[in-house]
Amino acid sequence: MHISRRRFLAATALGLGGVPRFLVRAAEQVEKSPDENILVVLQLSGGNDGLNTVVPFQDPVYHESRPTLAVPRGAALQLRTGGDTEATGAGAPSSADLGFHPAMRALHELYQQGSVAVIQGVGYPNPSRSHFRSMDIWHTARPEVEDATTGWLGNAVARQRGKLPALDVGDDRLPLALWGDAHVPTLQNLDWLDYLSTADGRTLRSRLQALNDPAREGRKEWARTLARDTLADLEHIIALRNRPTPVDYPDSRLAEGLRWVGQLIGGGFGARIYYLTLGGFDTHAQQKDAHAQLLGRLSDAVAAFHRHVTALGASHRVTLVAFSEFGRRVRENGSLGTDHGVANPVLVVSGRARGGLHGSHPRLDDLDEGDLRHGIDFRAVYATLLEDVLGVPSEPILGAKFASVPFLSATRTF
Amino acid sequence: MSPSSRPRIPCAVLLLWPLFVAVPIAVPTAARSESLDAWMPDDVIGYVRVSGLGAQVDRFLASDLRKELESLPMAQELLSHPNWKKFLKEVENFETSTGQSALSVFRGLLGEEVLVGARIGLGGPEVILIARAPGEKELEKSLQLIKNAAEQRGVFAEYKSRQRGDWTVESVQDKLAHVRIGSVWAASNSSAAIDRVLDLVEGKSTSSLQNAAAFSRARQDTLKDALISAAVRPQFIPNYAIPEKVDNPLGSLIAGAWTAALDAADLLCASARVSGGDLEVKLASVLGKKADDQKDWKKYAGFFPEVFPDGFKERLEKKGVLAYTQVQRNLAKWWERREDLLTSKAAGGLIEFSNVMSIVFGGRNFQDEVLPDLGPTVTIVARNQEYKSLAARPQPAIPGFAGIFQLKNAKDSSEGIVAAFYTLVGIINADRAQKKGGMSMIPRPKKVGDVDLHTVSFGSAMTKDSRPGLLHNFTPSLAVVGSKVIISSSEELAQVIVEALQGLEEPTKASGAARDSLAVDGAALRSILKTNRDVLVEDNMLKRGHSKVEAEQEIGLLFDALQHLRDLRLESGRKGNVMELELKVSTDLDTKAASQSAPAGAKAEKAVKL
Amino acid sequence: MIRSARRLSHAIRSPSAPQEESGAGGDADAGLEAYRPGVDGPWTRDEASHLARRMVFGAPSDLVARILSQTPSEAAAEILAEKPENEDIRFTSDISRQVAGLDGAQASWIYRMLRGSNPAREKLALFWHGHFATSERKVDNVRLMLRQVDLFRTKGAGAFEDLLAAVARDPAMLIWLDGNSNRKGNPNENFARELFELFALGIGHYTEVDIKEAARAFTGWHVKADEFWFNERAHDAEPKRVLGREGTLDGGDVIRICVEEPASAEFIASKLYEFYVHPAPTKALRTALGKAFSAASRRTGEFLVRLLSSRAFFSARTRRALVTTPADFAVGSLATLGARANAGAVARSMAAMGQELLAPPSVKGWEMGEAWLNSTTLLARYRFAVSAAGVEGDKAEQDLGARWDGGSQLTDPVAEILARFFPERLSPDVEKALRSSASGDARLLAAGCLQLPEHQFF
Repeated sequence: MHISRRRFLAATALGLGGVPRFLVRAAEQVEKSPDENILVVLQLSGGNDGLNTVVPFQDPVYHESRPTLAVPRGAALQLRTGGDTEATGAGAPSSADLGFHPAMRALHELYQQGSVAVIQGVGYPNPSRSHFRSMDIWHTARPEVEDATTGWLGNAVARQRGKLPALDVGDDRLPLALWGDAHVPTLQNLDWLDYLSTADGRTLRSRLQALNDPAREGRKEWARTLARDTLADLEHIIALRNRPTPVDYPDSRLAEGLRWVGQLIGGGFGARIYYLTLGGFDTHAQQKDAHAQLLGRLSDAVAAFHRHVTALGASHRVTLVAFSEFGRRVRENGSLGTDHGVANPVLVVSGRARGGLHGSHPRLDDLDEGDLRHGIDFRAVYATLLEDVLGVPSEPILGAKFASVPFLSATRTF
Repeated sequence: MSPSSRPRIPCAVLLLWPLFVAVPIAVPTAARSESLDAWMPDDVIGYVRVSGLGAQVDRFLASDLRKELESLPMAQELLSHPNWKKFLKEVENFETSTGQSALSVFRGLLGEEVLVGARIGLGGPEVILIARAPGEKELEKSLQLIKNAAEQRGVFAEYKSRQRGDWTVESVQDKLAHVRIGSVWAASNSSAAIDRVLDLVEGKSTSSLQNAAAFSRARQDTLKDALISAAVRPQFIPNYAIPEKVDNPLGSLIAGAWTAALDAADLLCASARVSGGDLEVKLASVLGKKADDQKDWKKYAGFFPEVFPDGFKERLEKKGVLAYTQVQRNLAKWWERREDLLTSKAAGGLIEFSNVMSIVFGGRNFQDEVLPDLGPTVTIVARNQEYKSLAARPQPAIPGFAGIFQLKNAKDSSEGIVAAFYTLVGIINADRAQKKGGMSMIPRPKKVGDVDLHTVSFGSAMTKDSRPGLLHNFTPSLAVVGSKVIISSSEELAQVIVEALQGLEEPTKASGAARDSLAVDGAALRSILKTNRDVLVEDNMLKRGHSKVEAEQEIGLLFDALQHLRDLRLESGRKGNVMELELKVSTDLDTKAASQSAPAGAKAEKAVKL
Repeated sequence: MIRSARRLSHAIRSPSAPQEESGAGGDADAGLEAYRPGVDGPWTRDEASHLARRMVFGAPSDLVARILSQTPSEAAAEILAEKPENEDIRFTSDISRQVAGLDGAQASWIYRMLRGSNPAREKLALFWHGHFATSERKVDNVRLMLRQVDLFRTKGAGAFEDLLAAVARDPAMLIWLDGNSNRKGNPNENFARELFELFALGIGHYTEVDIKEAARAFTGWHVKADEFWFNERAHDAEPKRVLGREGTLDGGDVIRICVEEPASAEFIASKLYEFYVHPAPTKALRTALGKAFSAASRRTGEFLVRLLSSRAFFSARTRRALVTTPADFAVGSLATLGARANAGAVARSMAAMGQELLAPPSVKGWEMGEAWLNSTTLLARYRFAVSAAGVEGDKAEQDLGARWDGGSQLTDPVAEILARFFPERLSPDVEKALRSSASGDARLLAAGCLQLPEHQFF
């Protein structure tokens, strides 16, 4: 596939206001209020099959289109609670007919408690079915721009000039969503951090601190300040890492990442945006087992995270949103899998979520060349997150005004 | 994510000794070994026995073989190591102070037979050593010499003696207690342990190793005339825990049964024997109650299928291969229980694999349709290639690999498999074409006898390449012969295997127990390494930061180590409630020793051809 | 301007003047005259190490000693002169070309930086690699990438025009900038744009029309079967007008025209200055540098020798004025210690520090200076320091496989190591802190040296 040269532009610019820091804490002047809202973005890479995630299990078209992959009627975990389902025309699945994939038991429990909002039929006009292009669009929120080089979150961070610290968690490259004029650090090399948390590591840390004690001059002083800040932040991170976790996390890489995020939040770490990635959703063949495993992992890890955050008393200010760059086609293909599609549900997990279904489920009898039509523009979802969670005006970032989707309560729900 | 601790295998280090000692055993030791057992208390966790070491060491030191080994560069390196020099210095000190050769003292004390047992006592680990000397006088003399030397060094200056019946127990600072019982010497780090030994000697107690039911099986599962043997009861080893789930799917498939066996073992036995130029090692795990627990052990059902031997292995050997391994597994059952056998991350990794397999098998469900069709015996073969169709030998030169599977309904399934093969080739070609416009692989089917050999290779432009590279090693091939499917990376190898299978009858004899085997041919191994010597040297240079000269020296060591290897064989399987593993390493070291005295004309045969 | 000129000349005449941070320009010609040891300033281990660190990686003690035995320009010329490559390098390069993937290629380049006979050429090749930044990620052909680096090695010190002409025909470059899409009637401006903006002229010295016309000149410059191929059918042979010159220009003509612009000489010379001497030269200095480059017939090697033996180069403000790139940090530290390491692991460490060989982030190359240092990269440097020094018991190992004798061959390891890394002496309290953190252990001292803020500049 054609990869343009601008694809490779890196986001290594200096943080605004001076020293680029590992833990980009809010500038000293900003009051760190305990009610700071935090956004956790979970990217499901590859194109999650939304139709098998939020399943219209009564729909005959569904079963007819997916002879082997359809989730059986009895198996789906019904999504009963209210929400903001619009009045739908005849033929569109209503809430009584929708359920989660059976592997998502843990998330279903949360749904029944009202902590999960399912936004249905999210997409954008003139959809692209190329992985890279579509992912870029979801990252930059600018479908009209080719080769955009900053992301929606990166822009938000840059505009807020140090008041909106973000952290990317994981060893993959910094996602385009976080690219911008401000440096977004990455929590990576977790094994080196693990080592630094040991007794030997402590010795090393104190040696480093001693080396950076005496004041320097000129640029060396700048380097010394950077070192001191790095070491201070490191102490902070290690302290956070070593605190006992109030809940048990399952054993998966995603859970590990979310655990880190939970620990950081619990420790009063200043980041307000966390970004994680879970891959493997490109299920062109033999989807049944693979997808079930992925959804199971997703559900268990996210549920554990929510329980963690709840135990910290922070569930009302932490919002997790899980999205994928596109959905998949309605009809299964010849390899017992599905191909790239369009519209998809977006899952939002939060104490603040107005639990239930939002938007309307795309109709299976009115397809766009075999694909589900979207009803909600993803940028409307972004606008809601930017304004209601991050407290940032959305129009400058998205390039236009998009009406919020009311999946979050304005005030605390408990 | 907490790492589980590994079991300590007490004899692991000791097992390495025989590699350098290749002298035939002449001293019968079996008859007398029992009596030492009679004096070792039975509450030990395990024991190690070494028999006839003294005579072996003597013979070795006097042999031409020793000179031969010492001249190897690798040995030169070891002998110039500072630690070895330190050790020699100590020996020298000893000999000066005692006026006796250290070797004779060693022989006098430990050279006949030594039995060491250990257990965890209240105060910590308790070790008991019982050794048989050639005679009473020798024993007395040896002990006296050691005492003198120790006194001169200022070690073990204070002794305390006490009398117990006919024997005098000497103890030193509560660290060491010992007693002489005729020509047998018993020593321990615990005085109480010596008393227990004496109880057995006096007949006051009969709880000896010899009578112990727990260890009785060890006698059966130990090699006869073993140089070293050991047995241990793993449940008594502190922190003994075998991880239940394995990290690596291939590892689980191959060694999963052993994980289970180690976990469920009542008794673990190991023994090693040296005869001629051969080293034999046997490991046995006597399974206990845990293995009977059906619920837990059901997940291992895939490792013990019923098999029908057919003599294919033997034919393959005649054709000459670098290495082969044959495992017998019920793949469907293994796959079914993979979540129980593998960590979740490893199991997750298999998703991608099954996706690919499903594409390859054109929509047939991998778990429900493909796997159950595969028979229990899976053979993997590696053979050095001759590259007749290429202009030059590729660099690096990779051996051909092949997998031979049994297919239950071969006639019906074979078309599907052939289609799958070409599908895979097509996918690879499409991928290459998209990326670089690289050469595609072209099918060139041929017939071997009446068998269709489906094979693909790169176009002639590539075969004429004067500096062939990695890709030139690959001519993927597929053939179905009777009920066997052969998939190979090399057409040459596929053809060899097809020929080996010609006329092989379908097995009809009674079934047998699953047995895994592995064999490696020394000459072929040397050959392939030699072919790739430059690549190995370059790799060493980059990885170790060496100059070319230094790298060649290190690689040379590797080659030296393999110089005398004839072949290596391993077999493993379950017999009743015992999991066994037998390893045999054949070297040409004994013939070398013999031919040293042969006339000069025999020199040509001396050098093992690479 | 005049004020700053005075400051610069003041600094040169009295070498003990305090180090100046801000860029000064001014009396630049005086700055480019040869540095005369004993007259313009001292010629000690400090000066020799400074020259070594800039010209090669690190300050290996045998090289520093050799420099001291020569005059600055003799030393610079000798270091840069091409020597026949040793057997180790010839052997590994040969095999890497055949066998390696990207990581193998990176490893073999690091190996060459560490053990080759021409480290100054390797550094210059690295400069050109950052300048003509091409990434294997898109080229997807390791052999071609290695050929491109070879090009930088062989032509990097010669006439810039020759180098540029060769790069325009380099298969890796053609793949990188979509050469094959550049056809008559449908030109692709990618290469032409980067040629003017990034490779040879700099922004402000050409127009969009120049780019369009230049693109036409390069039509048909294609790659076929991994070799340059002039596709006549795709070439636009009509008249064009580029940078004020007219004619039926082809790519070679455009290159020549471009290079002859005074702006081009200034652009290249200033870039070399920023890489080798000091960041952000002033306008006046850029002009002077351009003139000097032209005076050297635009031959990079000749220009560098003059630049690196000049009074400006040895002035106080130039010392430790640059931030160590990952290559300077990783390879340089190993070279200064005289340690060996696993070349592939060094490449991976450098990637963690932000510089992945053969895969720069974009055609703009790597962002230099302060951008190399942030919390993530700093932690990566600390990790490397611990592994390279071989500090006992520190299991921070990242397969670096570093082997260093710990200075056991030296009479006073601690003093010698300090002198190698900081010949100019650290300030007293810093040295005290360093020594006490090491408590006499040479390895701890070495690790400390590498971790000091001072060592992040060179």
